[in-house]
Amino acid sequence: MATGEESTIDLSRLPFGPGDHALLVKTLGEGEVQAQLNTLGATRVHETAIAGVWWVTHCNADDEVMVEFIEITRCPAIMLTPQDDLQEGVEALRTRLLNAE
Amino acid sequence: MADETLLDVLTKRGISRRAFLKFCAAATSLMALPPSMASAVAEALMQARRPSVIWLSFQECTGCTESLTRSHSPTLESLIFDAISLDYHETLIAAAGSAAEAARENAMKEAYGKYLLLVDGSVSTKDGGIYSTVAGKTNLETLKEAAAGAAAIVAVGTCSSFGGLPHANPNPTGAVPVSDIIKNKPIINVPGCPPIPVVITGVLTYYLTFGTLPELDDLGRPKAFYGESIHDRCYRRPFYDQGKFAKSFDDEGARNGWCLFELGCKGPITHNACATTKWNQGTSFPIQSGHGCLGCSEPNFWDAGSFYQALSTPIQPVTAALGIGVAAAAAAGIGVALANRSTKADAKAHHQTVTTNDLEK
Repeated sequence: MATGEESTIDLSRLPFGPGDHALLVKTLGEGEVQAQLNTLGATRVHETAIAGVWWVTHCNADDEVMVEFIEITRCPAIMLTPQDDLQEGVEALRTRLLNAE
Repeated sequence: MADETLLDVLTKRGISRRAFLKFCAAATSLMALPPSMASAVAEALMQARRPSVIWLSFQECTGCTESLTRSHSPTLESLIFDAISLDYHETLIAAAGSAAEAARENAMKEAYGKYLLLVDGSVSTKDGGIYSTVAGKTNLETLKEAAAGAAAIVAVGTCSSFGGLPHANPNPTGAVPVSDIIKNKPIINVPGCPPIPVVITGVLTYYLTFGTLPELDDLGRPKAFYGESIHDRCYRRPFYDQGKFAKSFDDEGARNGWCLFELGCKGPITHNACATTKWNQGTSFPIQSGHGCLGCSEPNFWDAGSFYQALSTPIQPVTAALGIGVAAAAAAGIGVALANRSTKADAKAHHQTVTTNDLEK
């Protein structure tokens, strides 16, 4: 907490036995935030009942889980608007306003 | 076509920046790299060029090709394979006969010195290699020809990595691995009978991303996937440590999910990613399904003694027991799994070195 150091755990690197994954989900629980990213399939993000511990599940277009991470962070990086998208956003807004008249 | 970068390919498909990050996160995991490397992977993928890939099949059962085409994360795989330009694969291409051969020769000529050569199946060498031929040419000759222009070779499966089943006693065709024939090219061995699908694609992704070979062990296997033994990552390890073994299939111990060491499990001497990555979209692996590991990613596993007799060299005395009750074993399993991540170095210090004497004839 002092250094603001973030960390990510790749869940596919852990040797889960039967029932272990469900136990982990239950132990961490759910917090206030749920989000979904829709690109290349859905990515579901939620903050667990432990503040700062986020669960990120990347699914493909067939809704199969590709990879899952537990991220220790104030907000998972994938949620933030990419820097380069911002300029494009300004231009997109300009175009929309022009076309709205 | 072969000169586009991977990012060009993705952009053409309308992939957003977040989607690219998602792709990189999944690719990083696929390559068994730590998540902190995702940005390095992204950098590398932005510049990566599409290599031409030639796949040759020799004395094989096609299980490795089957394994690869059953890879999960189809979106990820299809993106990768759209990116790699698979120019020749006998089973998968539509052309046949001389048209197919012409396609291969063309691909090899155009990308001479730069293509990635994938091989499954062992190579027959007895009597000039006459026991396995395609289009009238021995596999031996085809391999030498194809290897000459390859940037690197990936031996997919135990047959091409170590000789596999054809190599087993009495080896009537004089079957040998690729590394016995080709000595002047970098070779990555991706063994397993078959290899885990995402291990195959993970290795290919690594080469595609970084243009170099991943770190290999002394048998030429990528350490990221083959660096640990099944035993070291097995979720049934607490039972081994407590001396709780199934004595026969479907006995009470077996039904309680106890260790399969006494039923011949070769987990302690086998290196592969089965215990963590598992099979069929992470569903299960042999031990989880109640059968001991066969050791299929190690050399000479077919000749290494019965699959059902215990290894003769125990790692620790089997009478050693920790005081954890069976009821707590499930919780202990995940506790051990999580603890393993950080205390693996400590755990390793307590292990006896396992010799491979029982694998040698």
